[in-house]
Amino acid sequence: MSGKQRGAEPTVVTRMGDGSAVRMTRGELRREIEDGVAAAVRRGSVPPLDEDAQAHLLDLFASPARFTAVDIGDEVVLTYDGTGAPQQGGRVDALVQFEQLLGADSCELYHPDYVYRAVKTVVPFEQQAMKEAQERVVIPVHYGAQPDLGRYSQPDGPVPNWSTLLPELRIREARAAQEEALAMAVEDIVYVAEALWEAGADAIDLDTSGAAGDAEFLAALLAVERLRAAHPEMGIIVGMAGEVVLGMHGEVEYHGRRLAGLKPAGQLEAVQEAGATVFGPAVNVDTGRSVAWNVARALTLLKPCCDAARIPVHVNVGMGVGGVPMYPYPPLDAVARASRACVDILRVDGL
Amino acid sequence: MMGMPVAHAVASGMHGIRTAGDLVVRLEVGQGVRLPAAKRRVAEALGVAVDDLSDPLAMHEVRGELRLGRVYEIEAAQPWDPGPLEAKANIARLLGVHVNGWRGRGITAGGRESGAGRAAPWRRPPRPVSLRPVAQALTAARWCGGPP
Repeated sequence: MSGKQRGAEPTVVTRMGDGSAVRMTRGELRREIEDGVAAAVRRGSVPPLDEDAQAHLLDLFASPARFTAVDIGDEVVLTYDGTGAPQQGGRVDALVQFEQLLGADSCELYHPDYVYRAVKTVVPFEQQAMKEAQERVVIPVHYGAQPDLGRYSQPDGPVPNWSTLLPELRIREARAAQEEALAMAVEDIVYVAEALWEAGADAIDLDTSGAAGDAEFLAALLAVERLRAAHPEMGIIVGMAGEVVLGMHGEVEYHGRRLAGLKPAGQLEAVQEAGATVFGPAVNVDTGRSVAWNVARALTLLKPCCDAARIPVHVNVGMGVGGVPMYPYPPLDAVARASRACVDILRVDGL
Repeated sequence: MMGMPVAHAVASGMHGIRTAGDLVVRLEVGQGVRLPAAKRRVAEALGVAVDDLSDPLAMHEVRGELRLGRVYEIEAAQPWDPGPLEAKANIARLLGVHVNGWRGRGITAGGRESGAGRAAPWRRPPRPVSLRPVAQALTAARWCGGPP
């Protein structure tokens, strides 16, 4: 960090996308926000944030305060992609602590190997843990894992590895491998979700959907469709992996919509059609730019999606997404600003 | 923990059973109701104003009266408060929603299991694996010297 004064302008401590502290003047922060908005407009073909929103962001980031929070009455609910840390003792103990000590609105039981394919092999143990959790916790207890299509490819899985086939230009084989994997993933997700629903889970979370590209996103959508048809009362959360669905397959479609290249607004429409009850968009962080730039960019990309949603939108504001620094122990000042900005400007239903 | 769950909860969260955050989640996640409508429905069910939903003092009293489960503090023990399953049953009745942790497990109000005969699709046997591709490959290998 340099001095507290730059020319005639005082500086405030703010953060970079990797969490490191940096001093900027109000003028510099204004330019960061304008650049972030412009970057989102170019990336997502979305309208820019209006002037009031940008001015509010500037006030948030130019404040020297360590912490900031939404206005009283504007609070939203929180859902999680896995609740609890090793320091808290047992998994279910951690859920109780989140409810009783940390003010959590909901919690999520999870297996450390956070993938449906892995959980399938230990489903009875997860069911028993869910049963115990339901007997000890009042707040909704969700169950979550990732679709993670990569787990089905060799050498870990049975299907040829499309990441090695694609550089060899064996496109048709790479696509066939992904199609085979996605069929297996749908079966595994449905199997685990139904088992945990049977054990009392209040909702199922398909977290980080589309991490392996468009075929994985399709697997998540098809699984949601089957779960919705079989269980009309099941809560289903679909959290995304990134701001654009990667076209690892390139040709898969859902209800006539090509999935490769879908941005948050398009992702939302697909998730709504499949029958999910909550959509969790994710916008990735550029660690080389400031948190102000990243938050401005994320909000601009997400605004059309939040305005058009029929179901609740819980924006992902975890490590490396939604403007929160890409660091395992993110600073409170950066997280609080990203959190408040999402609520104040996007009018989200939750985080 | 400080950097993520605590920061978000303090900056933006409703605070779960300290207030009415868990009840709003029941409508949002369970039924796909957006936040303003979910808050209105919960406030109507509780007989309070929407602004009261995030007020821990108001909600502590309301939750105690309606037996919806509360945070326990050592200075103010509530040994007569309901356990989690009873609280969930009360929440399900109050909001008119399916609370899976209570009802989904087949527990009736009388405390007896009613799960007999319920469908358990996850217990379905695995689908039979087709051996046709393997047989075709073997046949091709036998007659043509290798797979086509």
